[in-house]
Amino acid sequence: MFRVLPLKDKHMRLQLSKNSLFNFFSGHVTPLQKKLIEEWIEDKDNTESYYERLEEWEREHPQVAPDMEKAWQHILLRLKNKEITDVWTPLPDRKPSSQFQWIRYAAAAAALLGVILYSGRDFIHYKTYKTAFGEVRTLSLSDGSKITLNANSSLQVPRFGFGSGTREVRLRGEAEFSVAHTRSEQTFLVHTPDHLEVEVLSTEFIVYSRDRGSKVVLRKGKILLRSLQDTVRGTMVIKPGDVVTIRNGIFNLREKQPTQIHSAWKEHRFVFNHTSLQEIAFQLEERFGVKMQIADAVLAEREVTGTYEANDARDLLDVLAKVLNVEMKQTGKRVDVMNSR
Amino acid sequence: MEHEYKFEPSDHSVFPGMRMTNHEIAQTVSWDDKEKFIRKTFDDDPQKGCELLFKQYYQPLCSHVVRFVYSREIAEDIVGDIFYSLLEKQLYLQIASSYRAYLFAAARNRSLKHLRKEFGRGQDARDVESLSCENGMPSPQQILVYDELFKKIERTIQSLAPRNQTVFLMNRFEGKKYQQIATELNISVKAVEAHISKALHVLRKAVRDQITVVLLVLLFQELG
Repeated sequence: MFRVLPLKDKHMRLQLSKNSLFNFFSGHVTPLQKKLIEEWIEDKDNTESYYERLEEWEREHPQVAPDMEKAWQHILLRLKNKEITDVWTPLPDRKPSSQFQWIRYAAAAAALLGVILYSGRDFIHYKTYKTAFGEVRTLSLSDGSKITLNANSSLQVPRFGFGSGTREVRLRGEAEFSVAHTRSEQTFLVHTPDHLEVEVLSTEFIVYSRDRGSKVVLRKGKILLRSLQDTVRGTMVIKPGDVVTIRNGIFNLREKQPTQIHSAWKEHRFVFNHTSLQEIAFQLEERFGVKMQIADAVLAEREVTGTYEANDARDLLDVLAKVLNVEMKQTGKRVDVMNSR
Repeated sequence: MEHEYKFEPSDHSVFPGMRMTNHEIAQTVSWDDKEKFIRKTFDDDPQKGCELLFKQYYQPLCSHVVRFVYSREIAEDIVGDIFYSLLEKQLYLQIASSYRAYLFAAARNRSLKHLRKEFGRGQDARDVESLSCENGMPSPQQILVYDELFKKIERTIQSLAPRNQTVFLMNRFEGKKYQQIATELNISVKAVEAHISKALHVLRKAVRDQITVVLLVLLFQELG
């Protein structure tokens, strides 16, 4: 490549090779060389070249191999959290007041008690609601909140103390929450197995937490997400229309999303929008416990768009077979998908 | 030679949609153009600009900072902080030098701050804020004392007895717990503790002396 670099030309007057600076950085220079290099550095015009060489030297002699992606996500998370503290601090009831110091101790004691209860035997402390594959069920809690559980999901609600103090539930799977507003403005907390905590005032939202990760969709109100993982700790306030997916404690926000598609399961519907067959296979397994075996990768990448009603796996499989023009062979819980001959 | 210059991608229109990766940029444009491109990106979208800088410099900066602080974790925190403040305090608006010079200078300044906090004498901590060179660039004299500082730290660690050095690096650089080191090296936790406190003692002494030199130069510059 032809190149004219007029800026570099002026440094030619003091001939200093890349190697001699590298040796200087590594401390392998004779006292005389060192003197020469120091003189070169003392010329202010060489400062930029100095840093350029320093960067090159660090690149060629790396001391560490940091995880760039994680570090960048961490910075974004901190910036996001900064916005959150900005949002939260002006609220008067968030300011600590010495007059109510005892409340904080009480809260700490309650939290400690919570931890003890949490680690205790589940069946004593929690009533568990479980849905089978293909089953969708709506529950009403004692505080007036309504929760619709999707198939293959479980919700644990404390037997004692729910609604007097905090309202905390544990979810594995997927559910839509319609949280009732209480007079004392109690917060409502949803915990998931991957240490995600969703804190709610009064609102409607959907929480999804399965093997593949977690997702939170907010329809109304305001909620606070908190990742309690050891490695990544972060919080995020989300507003209606936000869809947040969480993997390994890292939040990924999509704004202004249509939220209805995320609760289509309530009406036993599947909504696909350029959804790959691979993704559909995941959904089918989560909802009905049926495992799709897709013959080849090209087939797995084929996309489907549309809304389909399905009360069981068979309904959906029949439609898919027609739409994609493929053959489906079901044996028990296993479905083989092949190209039609 | 003039006619050859027109082959240079000096115009931003060669980056439609900014979809190029840093790697591609590095291959096709000279450094000055790259800086211009990043500056332009900062104007349009500071976060995107910062991301470009981050991709370009995070690794070499961590590598440099670790020579001062000898801990991967601390180095990553320090460098992460630089990029965070760049966006959070909008420091990118005040950079008069190249981004590279700014970032390396900030990395060195923060490394020194950290060393002073960790190894410095109590009274040192007060005046360091006023000597922060994050806005003004370090002078050539300051550059030289920083060079001397990280080399001195390296020499000091190299001078440690081999076992001493191994234990110290496992704890400090790799971030391993005492118990873990004891198990791996098949020695007692007490012995691990002794190795580390010995190494820290030697390092503290070396760093303190050199920090005093750095501070004197910084102070002198400030007054002059």
